[in-house]
Amino acid sequence: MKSVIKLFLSGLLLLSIFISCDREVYTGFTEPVILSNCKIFVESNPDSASIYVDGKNSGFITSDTIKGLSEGIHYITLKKNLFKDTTITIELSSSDKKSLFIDFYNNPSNFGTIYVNSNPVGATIYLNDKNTGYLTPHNLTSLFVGKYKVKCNLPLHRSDSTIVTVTYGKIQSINFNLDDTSKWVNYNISNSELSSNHLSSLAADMNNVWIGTRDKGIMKLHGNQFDIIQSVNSRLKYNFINSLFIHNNDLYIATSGSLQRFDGSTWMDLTSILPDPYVTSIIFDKNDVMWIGTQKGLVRYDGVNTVVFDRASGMSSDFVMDIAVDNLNNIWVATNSDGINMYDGHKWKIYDMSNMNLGANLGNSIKDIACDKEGYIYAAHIYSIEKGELGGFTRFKDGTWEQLELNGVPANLVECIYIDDQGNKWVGTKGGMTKFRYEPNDGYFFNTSNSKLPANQVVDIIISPDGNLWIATFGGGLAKVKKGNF
Amino acid sequence: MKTKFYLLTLILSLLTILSCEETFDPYGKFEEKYVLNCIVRADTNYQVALVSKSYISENLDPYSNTEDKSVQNILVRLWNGNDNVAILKDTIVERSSDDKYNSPYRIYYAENFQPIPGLPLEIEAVLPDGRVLSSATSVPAPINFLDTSSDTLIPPSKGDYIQVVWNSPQTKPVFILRLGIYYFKYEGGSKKRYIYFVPQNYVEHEGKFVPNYPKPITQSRFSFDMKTIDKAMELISAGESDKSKFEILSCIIEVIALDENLSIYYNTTANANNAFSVKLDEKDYSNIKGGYGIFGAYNRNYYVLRFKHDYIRSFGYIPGLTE
Amino acid sequence: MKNITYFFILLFIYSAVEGQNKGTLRGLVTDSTNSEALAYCNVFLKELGIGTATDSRGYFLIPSIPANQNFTLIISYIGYHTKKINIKVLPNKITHYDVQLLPSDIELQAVEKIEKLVEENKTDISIRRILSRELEYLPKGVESDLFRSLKYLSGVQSAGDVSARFYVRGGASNQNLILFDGVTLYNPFHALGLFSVIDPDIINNIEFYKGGFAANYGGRLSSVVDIKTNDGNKNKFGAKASASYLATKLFLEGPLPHGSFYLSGRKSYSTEVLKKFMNNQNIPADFYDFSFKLNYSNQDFIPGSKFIVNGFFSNDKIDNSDPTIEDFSWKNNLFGFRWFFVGDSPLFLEMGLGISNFQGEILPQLSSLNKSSNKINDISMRMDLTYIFDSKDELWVGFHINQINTHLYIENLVDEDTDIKNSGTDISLYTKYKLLRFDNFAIDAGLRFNLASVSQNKEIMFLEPRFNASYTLWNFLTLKSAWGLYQQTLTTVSDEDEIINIFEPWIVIPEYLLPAKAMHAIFGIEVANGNTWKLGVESYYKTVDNLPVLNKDKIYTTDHDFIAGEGESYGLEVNASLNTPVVDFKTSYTNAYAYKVVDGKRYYPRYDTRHSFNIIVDLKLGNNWHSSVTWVYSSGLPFTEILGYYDKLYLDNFFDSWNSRDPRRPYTLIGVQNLGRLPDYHRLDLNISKKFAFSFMNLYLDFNIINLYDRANIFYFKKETGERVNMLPFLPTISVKVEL
Repeated sequence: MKSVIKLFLSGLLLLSIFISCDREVYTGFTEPVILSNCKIFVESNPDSASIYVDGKNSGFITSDTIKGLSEGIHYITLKKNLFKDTTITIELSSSDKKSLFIDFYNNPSNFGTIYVNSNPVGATIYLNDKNTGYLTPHNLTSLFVGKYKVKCNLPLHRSDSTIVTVTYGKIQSINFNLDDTSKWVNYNISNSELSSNHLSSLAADMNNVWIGTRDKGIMKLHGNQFDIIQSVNSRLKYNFINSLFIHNNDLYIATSGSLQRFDGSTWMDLTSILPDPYVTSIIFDKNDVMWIGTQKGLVRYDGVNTVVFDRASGMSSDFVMDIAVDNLNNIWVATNSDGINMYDGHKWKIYDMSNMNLGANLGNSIKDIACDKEGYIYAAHIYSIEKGELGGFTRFKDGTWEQLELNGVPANLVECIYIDDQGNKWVGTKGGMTKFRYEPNDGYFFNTSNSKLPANQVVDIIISPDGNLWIATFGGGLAKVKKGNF
Repeated sequence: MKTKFYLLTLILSLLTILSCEETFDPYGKFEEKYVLNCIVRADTNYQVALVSKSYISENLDPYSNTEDKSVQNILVRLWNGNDNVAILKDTIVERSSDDKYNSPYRIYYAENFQPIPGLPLEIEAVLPDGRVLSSATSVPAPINFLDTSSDTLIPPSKGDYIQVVWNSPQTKPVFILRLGIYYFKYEGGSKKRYIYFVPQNYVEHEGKFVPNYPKPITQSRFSFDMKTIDKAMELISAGESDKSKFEILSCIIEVIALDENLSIYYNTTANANNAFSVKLDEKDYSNIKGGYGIFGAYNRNYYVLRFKHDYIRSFGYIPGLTE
Repeated sequence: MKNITYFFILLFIYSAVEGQNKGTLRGLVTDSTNSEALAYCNVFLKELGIGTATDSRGYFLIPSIPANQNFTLIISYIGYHTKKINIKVLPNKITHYDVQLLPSDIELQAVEKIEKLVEENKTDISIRRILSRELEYLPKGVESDLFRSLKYLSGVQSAGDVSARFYVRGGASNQNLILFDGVTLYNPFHALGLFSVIDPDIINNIEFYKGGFAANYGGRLSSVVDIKTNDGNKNKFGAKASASYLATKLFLEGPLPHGSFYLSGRKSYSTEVLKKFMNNQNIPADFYDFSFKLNYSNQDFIPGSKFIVNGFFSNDKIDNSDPTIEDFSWKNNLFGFRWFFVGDSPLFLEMGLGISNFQGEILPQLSSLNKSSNKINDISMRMDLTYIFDSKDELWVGFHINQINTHLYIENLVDEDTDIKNSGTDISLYTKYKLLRFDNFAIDAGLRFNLASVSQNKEIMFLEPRFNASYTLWNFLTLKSAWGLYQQTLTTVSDEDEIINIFEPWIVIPEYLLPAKAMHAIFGIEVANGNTWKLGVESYYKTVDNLPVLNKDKIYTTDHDFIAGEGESYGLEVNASLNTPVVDFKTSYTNAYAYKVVDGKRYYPRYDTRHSFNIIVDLKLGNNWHSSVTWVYSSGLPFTEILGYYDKLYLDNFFDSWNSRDPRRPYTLIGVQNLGRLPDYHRLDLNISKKFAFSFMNLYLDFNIINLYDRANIFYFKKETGERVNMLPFLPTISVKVEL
């Protein structure tokens, strides 16, 4: 019996062990909250440096306070363009507010060098327009990082300058090719104040060269000074210049919508006497009568009366391209598509492919016409593949037209003909220009590869009264060849 | 007898007491938690982040809370790589009139932050007390539609469905897409542009066609049955007798490619319970360190399909673009 | 396998001829009105002072009775007139008696006082045997329900009034083996788990093992509900029709040549009352279940045999007319064939073939849900042999073969499919020896061998040892204990925190996990005074390893769906019952602890109730009136506390720009799982029933009140809206049954 009770008691014990107590269960885990309460004020010289914290752009720039930093060690890097990155290790705690100042200039490696060389050497070096006293080649050392204007000056050469960015610890090399201006000077929009590289015509008086452009009005060049005459700053009506002509020191301006006269100070608008405002050419004959070519006829203006010649009065066309006056004061008119008209004061004679007796169909569209003292008439026929017209350069004397070839340049792409006082013929083409005295094929030619001609399309040529040769190009600006060098 | 009466009274009063509804507080210890939500769109440079905090509701109904819990004065920054960073500015946005909150809500935004696919994206929000919420993700690269295997014309030259196929450089892509028919409708002398969204199919219920819009997919292809497009074309002018008022332009398929974080988050939030099951626990996915919410990115891509003019005309509509 | 069977049969026949001038008495006790077997009757041989009880099939067997002598056999059973018959057994033979007991209409008589209590089955522990009658008299919500009734037992927890799911001693609901005439039933629930699919009218008896079950059961970790159905009236044709608020039922039975049949069907017709269960939510549930059974027993055709064919079919639909709401459908199909054989030796042989099939489907229509479906197909073959020695010792041998196919198909949000198909065969062989020869000491020791497993994981537990023992100290006091290892290779894809779900899809535990394994250790004391009062104290300790738990941290589609957890539960159950002619009084108290450990974190599962207490008072009022009152109390269930809310970003429409509308909606932050406790639960239910007997029919009226004092028991707290959802309110229901 006793053993049974023992068994029973041990059973009870077992039982109570089973149901003894509640186990501990998972009650959750609270992630410790780490606060990023530290701040740092960062300043730099120069300011506006990007502040990187631990390799990451903080989005703040100096001078500013960076918030939201955790306690402990941080790497603060200041990055500023051109300067060397500066990294400072700093230990932060939320209790104190630290500040940091970085002077980039205290670091010798934040300086840079510019090596300046020129061809030819020996040019004076200007830094930010201040003469350094050094001649090329030279190392300009210990420069703060940043942008500098470096200029080189060498007599009889065009000065050249450029902007150089100096970064820390690096040598920036520049080499100027100085343009020799002793014989030939080119003007374009990047090296001068020339307003356009697309020129249309030239005219010169005793002091000035007048340059017409296709889009930017007129430039007056006196000495090295360019004056810009445009519709926005003068009474010039249109900036599209077709032709310029000097007569009695007055400048006559033919534009796409007007005929104006400018005597240097006052403007006169002559458009109202014309049948059409699109003016292509102006010339004065030996009797000082002004002839004006328009889209709708040729106008004779003697200062008082106006006579309009057109198809109705015997011309082959209304559209005048160019006018020339020969020794006999005959008026030669180049028309847009109907050949050449000659007016002897009484009647019109028409020359075109039907009666010029040329071996080929050069075409009836005449670009330019000119007369020399020897009595020759020169005409430029326009090449047109659509019309099957070959284009070409022709000469007329004593009732006969002949086709000429030009030395080195394409005779069928003639843009302009200029005959100087010595009787030299200057022919500008789309492929350069040529000069000859008597026979066109014995002249010599200029193009971009054998000379400093800035573009091959030569649209006008003049020799100014001071003896310099001026060449207007389409696309390359203006070229001046000093007297005696051509 | 008396004792029986007392006993009865006792039992009755006991029962009355027992039947009382015991007050029950379902709340544990409230701790303020913070929520950061930011979904970076790779197809725009305007990015938005929202920061709010948790709350309790006096009457136990979270919907009765009408106080906006947006948090102010937070330094929110977005990184794309280590160098490209934007500090988000804050502004308030008016809510629609049917919103339960009556105050405008606060958003943090960046106006010039268009992430470059491939570079890591990071966000960090530092709360006024120094608490930090942060996360990282990556931008899905734009998808390439495969012109050779995708249809370009509706209806297609062969088959009775149109198919669009693309490839995606992502490893676990999820795409969400919709197809819209763009058209003009002449209304009172002027024409207004509309978009009709084409469902994956229609289910007829009580004489009406209930649209069933495409669900997210993982495959890089999708097809629309021509029958559905026919039906959609028909429904554009439902109730209008003058079909020539409609000028049909084209069909544009928009494909949104989600990044992995967003895919997972989408899966957990859209995982709807059925109407009858009562579930007391659910997974709340968050990739925000230090709080709740989501930081993800997506890219939106477009593919244009043109209509054959005969097809447009067969509905009485006017073709709007060249074939 | 065949050879082994022959071997055992030969062995038994050989040992049967051992006895000298002694014989064996065998009998089958049935109800005289309908010939249904009467399980667990007391059978007592007056002169020898020995006795036994009938088994669940109604059979009893008493060996070693002196041959050619007259004895008085007393068969007594509650609700029946006690019967005394004179018997005489032949030497070295089994003498068979069929005994029919007549039901006593007036249940005022107690069982005739007999000198010695007949023990049911000495080694049994943690078992409750339930007769269908007992189910009838329990208060019922709408329909009487088997699984709901189980909740009144100690050690059985529930997660609320609403669901019929039950949890035994801290085990999950999928760890309960439901055997329907020997065939596993996989999803025995109608309408969101609100009711069980088994109509109580077809039940003869239930053996419910809360743990420590012997080697003849396997495949589940926690409990066994072994349901035996009626055979159908062998005497006359009968019909029963009944109606409750939910469903109508029709039951037909009658004799067949050499046998009988029943047909039973149930069909829902109204869902109004379901609203009470579901917080006034409309549930368009539509279900039916249907079962039949045919049995055939012809002495000219394999004498001693009984052939049974039965079937069970249930079908549920939740069919919304609105295409934007998903639909559901699920069904069970079960088919069984059994051959039960009692030969000329003290041997019971039962062979069975069964097919159990479950199919469930979610049809998303236009809702945001995704398509999913589950199929399980279980073809089983079993053989069970029981040999009873003259010493009363028993040897059990058997094998179970289950060919199981599971298929789970889930479409996820992004059109990716999960398609898990598994097919395999579980082959188990068991043997156990019941040492019953001593008066005060009994042992049931067994081994279950897992010869093959459906599990893909090779490391299955090959051997499941089971051991039960009892020791009777005094006549009235018995000490009992049990120990065993258990293994389960199937699981359901269900989330315990989903307190209402449509159905639970079954799959084979994935191969990356070991099959779940449990250990039960039980210790009990039983004190009884005849049939009048009984007091039982039982304590249990149970551990579960490799418990498959849904992986809540699953983020990527490649993440595993399940992770291995652990379970631990222990508790103390006290049961007391008092039977008097007028009043049956049962009460129980349970102090239980249940834990799960997942990811190293121990937490309380949803159904962990610390204290529960039940009182059932059953009053036989006479004149065919019957009443019962039940009061249930349990301490609060765990719940997960709300830590607050935040406005969560919902990606409803990627195509909208953010500025047009705030895309955030409140979202509930919850605390550590199940750390909080809900208020205590208690409920008083009342049942009053009356039988009206007419000449041609019986009419039963059954009036129930659930939650008499309208206790607002909290079911759950809707965290999305702050709404408190209570369990069943004061709910009076009535049901009518007509019996022809």
